[in-house]
Amino acid sequence: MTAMTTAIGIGMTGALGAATRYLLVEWVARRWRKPFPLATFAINVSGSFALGLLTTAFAASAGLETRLLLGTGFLGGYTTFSALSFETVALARRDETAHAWLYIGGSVAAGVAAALLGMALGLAV
Amino acid sequence: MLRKLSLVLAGGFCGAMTRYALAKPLLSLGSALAGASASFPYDTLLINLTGALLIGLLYGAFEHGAPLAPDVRLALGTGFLGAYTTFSTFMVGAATMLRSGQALTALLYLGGAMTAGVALAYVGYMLAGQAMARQWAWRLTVSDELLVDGGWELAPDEIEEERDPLPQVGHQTAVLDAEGSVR
Repeated sequence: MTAMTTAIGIGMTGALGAATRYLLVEWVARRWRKPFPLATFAINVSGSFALGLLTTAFAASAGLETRLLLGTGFLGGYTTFSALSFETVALARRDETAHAWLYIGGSVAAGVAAALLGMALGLAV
Repeated sequence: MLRKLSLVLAGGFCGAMTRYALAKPLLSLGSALAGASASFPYDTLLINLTGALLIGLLYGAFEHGAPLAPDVRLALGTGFLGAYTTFSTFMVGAATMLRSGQALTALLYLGGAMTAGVALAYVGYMLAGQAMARQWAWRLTVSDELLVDGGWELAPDEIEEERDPLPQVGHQTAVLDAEGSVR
């Protein structure tokens, strides 16, 4: 792939990742009424697991295109740091301080654990 | 639904491409600023922190009554900034540090990036609120001048309409500003 087609490919898979995240957030919002941002949490943790798996399972140079399109593109667009940061601010502003701490602490702890699990699983297969 | 989805797709396309395009320059910038340790994911860190500041500014402007269409929020917030920033690369970066025995660096990266991200989103939110309050204060001054000299020949009810579209939050702050500093 040339640099330009790689960039366009990442844009396209990134767009699909963002759209998947949007549809999941909307779907969960109709079913989950509690203040904890469950959708973003689940998206970020599952995406971390998938990227961990991808990183070790496709570590060879032959897997570069897969890593770029699925990892940098799709999973990069699917998971989000900006929504996590802003939702934490929104929780704190609504005096949901316990939820705010649970949300960032839980996202980071579960995210790292999921990434480690994915990386270990990718090495095993 | 299809229109909303295409807005997110368009924003996501640009966001993911921007992240990919900025990765190399930001990696060199971060390594140059910090001196050594070129293996540290400065690209992901700088992308996530700028994205957190920008989402604070964007959503702050919306909450304080910026005249922007909800479509803009969807395309720029959910689409562009959602895809520009990334949580999975952040997590795999920290997990890689842990696996190579750099536990302290990993913990500092996790705690530092997350704290800075939330802080920057808050800073952006507050800055947008202040900017919008100044906007409304200026608009109030303009409509007050119309009331005083009547030079624009507006009927009183037309002048009232000038004040009406003020949102709740922006309005209260704006009145204080107009009395305190503008007048």
